[in-house]
Amino acid sequence: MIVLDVLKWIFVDHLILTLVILLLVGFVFLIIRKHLVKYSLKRLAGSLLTLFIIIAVVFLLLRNMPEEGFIENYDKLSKQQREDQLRALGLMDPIHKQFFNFLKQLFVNGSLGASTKYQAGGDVIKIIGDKAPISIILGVISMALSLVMGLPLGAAMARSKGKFWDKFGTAFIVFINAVPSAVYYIFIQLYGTKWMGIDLLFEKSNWITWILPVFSMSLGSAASYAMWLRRYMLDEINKDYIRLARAKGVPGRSLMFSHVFRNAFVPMIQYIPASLLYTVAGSLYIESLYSIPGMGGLLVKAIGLQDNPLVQALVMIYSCIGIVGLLMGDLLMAVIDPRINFVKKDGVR
Amino acid sequence: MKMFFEGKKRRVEDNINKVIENSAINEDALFVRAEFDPNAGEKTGYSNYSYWRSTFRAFRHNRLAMVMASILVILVLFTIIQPLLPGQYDALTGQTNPLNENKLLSAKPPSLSTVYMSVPKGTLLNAVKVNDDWYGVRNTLTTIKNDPLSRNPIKFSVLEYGEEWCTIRYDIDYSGEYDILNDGKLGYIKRTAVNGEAIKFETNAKRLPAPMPEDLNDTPYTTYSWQEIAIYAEPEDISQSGDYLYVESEYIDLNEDGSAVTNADVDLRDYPSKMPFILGTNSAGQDLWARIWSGTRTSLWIGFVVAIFEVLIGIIVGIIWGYVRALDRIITEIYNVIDNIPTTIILVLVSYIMRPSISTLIFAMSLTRWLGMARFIRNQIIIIRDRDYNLASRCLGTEPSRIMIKNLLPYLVSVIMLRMALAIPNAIGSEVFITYIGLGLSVSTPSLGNLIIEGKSLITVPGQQYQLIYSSLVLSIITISFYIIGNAFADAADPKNHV
Repeated sequence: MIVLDVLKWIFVDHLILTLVILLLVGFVFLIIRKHLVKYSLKRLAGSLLTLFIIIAVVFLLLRNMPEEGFIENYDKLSKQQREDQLRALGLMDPIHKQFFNFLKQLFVNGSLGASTKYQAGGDVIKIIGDKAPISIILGVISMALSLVMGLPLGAAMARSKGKFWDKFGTAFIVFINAVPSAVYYIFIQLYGTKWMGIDLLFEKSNWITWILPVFSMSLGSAASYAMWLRRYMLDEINKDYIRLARAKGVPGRSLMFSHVFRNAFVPMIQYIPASLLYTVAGSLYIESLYSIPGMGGLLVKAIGLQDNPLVQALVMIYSCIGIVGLLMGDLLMAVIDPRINFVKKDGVR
Repeated sequence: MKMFFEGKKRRVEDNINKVIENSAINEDALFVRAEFDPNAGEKTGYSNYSYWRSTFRAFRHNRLAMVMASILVILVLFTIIQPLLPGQYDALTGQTNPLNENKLLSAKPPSLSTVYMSVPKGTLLNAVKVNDDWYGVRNTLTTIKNDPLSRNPIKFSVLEYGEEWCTIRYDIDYSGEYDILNDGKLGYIKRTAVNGEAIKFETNAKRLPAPMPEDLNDTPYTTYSWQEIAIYAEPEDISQSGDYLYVESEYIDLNEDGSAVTNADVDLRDYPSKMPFILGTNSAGQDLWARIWSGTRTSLWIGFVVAIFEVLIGIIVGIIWGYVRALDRIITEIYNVIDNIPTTIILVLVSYIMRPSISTLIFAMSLTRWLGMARFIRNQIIIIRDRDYNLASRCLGTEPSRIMIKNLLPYLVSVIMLRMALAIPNAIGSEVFITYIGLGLSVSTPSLGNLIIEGKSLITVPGQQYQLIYSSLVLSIITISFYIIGNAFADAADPKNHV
């Protein structure tokens, strides 16, 4: 599948390049609006510092784990052999030297180390590269679906406050938010497959089996999109300029979409880059329920096998994604909404 | 400030005194001096507004939330008192069938009654004592075993060869000295054996040939059996598989030969207890009803403790963060660092590093949850602390603690209640997640997460889905009610919504 290859090229083989390009594009926008440059640089520096702290903490924490997580066939080796292997891996060095070596390896070779148990000796980045594309595709489709479901629902709820759609949507949101997702995922799988008359498990070549995983994955974010859009639209509807527009005779439909919706959508934009990037992590529940060979279960499997380098790499990647996503979201907000500026207001107590 | 007020007071008093001195009116005749009364002082600003009364009034108007609240109160109370109720099974003991020790009462579907069937008064049963209260019974009188070494098969006479049941006369110890057709014991055998095949009165050619009539319906005749045959006292197989059923000892009269006769119309039960497995049992024979309530207790306990930690840490950090201006920058930076890490990662990592237990779960969840709380409280405090009424309070010399309790806290109660109520569904969800990835509590500590995952592994087994459905149902009721109540209470507790 060509889409898979392209996505793999973008997100996996050249993940760092992609992120850098995205950031650069952001900065080009920012240069057009000069007062944002200082803010963005400060924000970027803060993110880098955060990233460094996270890498250091995760590194230190995992150094304190039992050492069998670093050596394969631990039980079969004698004490001497174990020490030799640990020395060869550099794990007998003092901790600051280990950390320095790790950083050197990361920045010079772009390597996050080798897996010890999951695929003994395999490059961690390659393991992730094999798994990520299918998670990304599923994630992107379900994100699109959740936007398609969530935004109209939210808009309908705001328009008919207190009537049927509002009540229906509220019930949906309460259910999705309150009940742990594992529970309704299991029931969707159980009854959905029975109703559609298909096998429980996912099959890449059979498009029908894509429906349920994508649908269940999109429910959570659809509910949150609907909830926030409703809240922001109601805030917006009560504002004076809308009352003016209505008094002026702007028809209801165009009022809703070209004024209310557009303004209400702005605060939601900042979450979109993060959720797009998080598709790399996959959905643990969905992927294990339908046995999709994606990223979802990788961290769990690595933890189960006590494959410390893989755990470390995954935790670092996920944190990195989170930070970059938030940063990009904030920058995107600043670019799109001209009202946001970061000039310090004086005289505010 | 104090000097100023005192000085001014003195001046005003002096003026008044001067005026009084100058005028010729006798002041004492006109006025009566009032005694000091602290209550009267409060009367000046009297209103019948009470924060909590208004909150509850607003809450009572939300009918759905009231319904949910009453369901939840009943549920939580029941969860607490459930182990104290009589006749409850233990959540951890696998129940066994006492007359067949190895057979767990496993994967028993839910039922509201332990009664398997009823038999009328005077039924002849084969009884075995279980304990003082219960007897195990079945109505097979004996079983003819197929002993390949035996040269002496059971000889019996068929009196009637029916569609389903054959009436026979038999004697296990028969030595061929009397006429079995007239003097043997009366019994019944089933034509369909356990494996579904019809019993054939065949003879084994190498062994003693049995005399067989041409037509099996041509009774009476005497024959032998080489097959395993159960002989029943009545033409009725009460427990299908030949297993024991249970009856209370007061309802049967024992005969000398170990058989028993019922002395009333009695119910025969699956196992020696009147208390049914209401929600069935799991694969280990543990009572699902007891496990669900025990699991609910564990999960609610985790939720409550996490909520309390969240509120305590959140309030303390939030107030320091918002009130002490010097610390604002530092705490904000620390917050930014921690907030950037996905909470799931922290949860997984901490559970991975520490040993799985309730305290690990509580610790891992509390580690991240207070952040949002602290931030919200900080924002609220920054908004409220410099409002005019607070400035006025400060100028009047009100203690900071009194400002916080009387002026700031009512604005925060709504969010504190909301976060506390939402902490419980969240904690339950996190617990399900951690259990799902295999880092949660062991099966010996039932929790809702455990039960869901246990039920999930059985969804493909036909007839076993009740294990998932009941656990999910209880879990959903709890999480949804906490969510709705939390939101409704937050609305009600917000002073802006008090009319």
